[in-house]
Amino acid sequence: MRAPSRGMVWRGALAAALLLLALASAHHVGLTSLLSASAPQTGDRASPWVGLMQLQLSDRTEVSRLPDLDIDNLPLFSRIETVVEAERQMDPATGREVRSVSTRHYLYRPFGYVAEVAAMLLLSLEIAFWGTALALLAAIPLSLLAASNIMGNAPARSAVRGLIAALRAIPELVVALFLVLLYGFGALPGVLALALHGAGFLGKFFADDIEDADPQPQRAIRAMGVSRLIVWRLAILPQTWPAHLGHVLYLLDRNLRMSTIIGLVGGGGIGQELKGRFDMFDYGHVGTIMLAILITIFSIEWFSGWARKRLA
Amino acid sequence: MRLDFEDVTIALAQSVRPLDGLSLRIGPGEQVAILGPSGAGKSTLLNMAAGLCRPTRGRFSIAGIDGSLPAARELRKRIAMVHQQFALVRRASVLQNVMMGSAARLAPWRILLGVYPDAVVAEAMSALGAVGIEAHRARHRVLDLSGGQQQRVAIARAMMGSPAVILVDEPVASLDPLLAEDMMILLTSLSSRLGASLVCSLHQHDLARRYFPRIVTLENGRVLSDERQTAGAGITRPPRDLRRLSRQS
Repeated sequence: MRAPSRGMVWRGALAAALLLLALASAHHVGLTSLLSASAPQTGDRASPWVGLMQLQLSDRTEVSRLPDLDIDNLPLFSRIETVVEAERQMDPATGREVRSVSTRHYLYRPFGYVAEVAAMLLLSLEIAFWGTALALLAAIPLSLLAASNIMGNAPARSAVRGLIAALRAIPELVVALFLVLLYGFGALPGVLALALHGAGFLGKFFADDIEDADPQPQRAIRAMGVSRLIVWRLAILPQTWPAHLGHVLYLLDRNLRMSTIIGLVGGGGIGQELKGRFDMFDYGHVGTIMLAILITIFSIEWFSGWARKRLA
Repeated sequence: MRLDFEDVTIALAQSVRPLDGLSLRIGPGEQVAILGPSGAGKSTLLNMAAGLCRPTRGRFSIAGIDGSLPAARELRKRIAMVHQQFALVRRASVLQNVMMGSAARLAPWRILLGVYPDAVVAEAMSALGAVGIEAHRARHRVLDLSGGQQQRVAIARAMMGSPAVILVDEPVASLDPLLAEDMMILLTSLSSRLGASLVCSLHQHDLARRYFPRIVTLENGRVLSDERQTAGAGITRPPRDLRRLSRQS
């Protein structure tokens, strides 16, 4: 057998070193604990996985907290539930146990929580929509200033490219954290966070589309003695808008998913409810919310696929 | 509008000179064929007239005004070019492409919003009619058209605003002989009707002889020969049956 060459020895040593490094890193991130037999700690509470299955659909509100409720005209499908509860209290004067009966009336709505989730999902959709719309509005001038075939001035173009990169580099969640400090909890910081990040995303991809456009018609229109803005409108936009539309639909899709997350840091919408219920161990509610998000994402997926096919 | 090339040279890197001391005068309303082998400078000559490149040395002027001066900008709007690859916006409709020919004359906001005056739409439709594109094709996208039809659309775009000079780069390079005859008839008759001068680069000697009163031959970036044919004697139209055949195709 031939003795291994010096190159092979080096390569073998390098491979062994990389393997060791990978193993150390796997241990560092805790992957090795998966190999040990012990199950993840759940504590004495019911496993959240079981809780998630028990979807919470209904809700119950005490009638005394609904001053405007008209007993004769209840909302659709809802009913009044009367709960008689026996209570044992200690009489402070005598120190004896006293039994009392209290009667409580509840308005029970079988799909009350679903309606609530739907309303909050709608708010999330609105956040995503406005985040995308404002991003689009900002991205059009940004991309024009960043495209070499429209903006001739190289230093200015680089500055705009840098701004776009910075907008894209900061994650929405981090932007939202700061905006929540500025504007308080609610939908507005969510919208602005999505818009800022989206403007960076669309700005970059629009600018790349514009630079990739067929140069021949651009030359022809430019020779007519018109401004670069007109060249863009006539010779570039008709070529690039299908690609632009694809990017906008992708951003909308992404923002719809992000808008559910952005509520976690106070950006409004369904995420805020999700976080609240999760922290209160209401896993049934969490299950309903997650299912609703899933259905929404699937519908959006289907719709954006349909729209792309129709428009492009 | 007179075009003057006075000792024009374009010098690129590594002593490549697409034009090298070329002098040529093209008078108003003249119909000139530019012949010459590939790389002789035909396209560069046309591009310079269209304002797509500038002379390194020498002078190019439009109606006596130096092409590099701001004053030439307005004159340049009256020079239209039909590019070899047509340079149409393929995804846009035929009508939109033709209307682009009037871009320099319209207010920018109209173009940005895509709101064209009725007069421009009517002019574009009549230009399409003049080049033989049926009205129902106006809403089709350019990429749905054949190569020959795309070229006609490019000519219609060049006709917008009745230009004083029409520059055409290799109009018959990709056409079969019958369509090539048609194209020559179309170009020469349109330029006569508009009173515009026609400068057309060609590879085919026989087409140039039959349709153009003046033939300029280039070689290595300068004028090799400049022949004028006496009208009527030199110019012959193709036989009738040939023209009829080409209409049907």
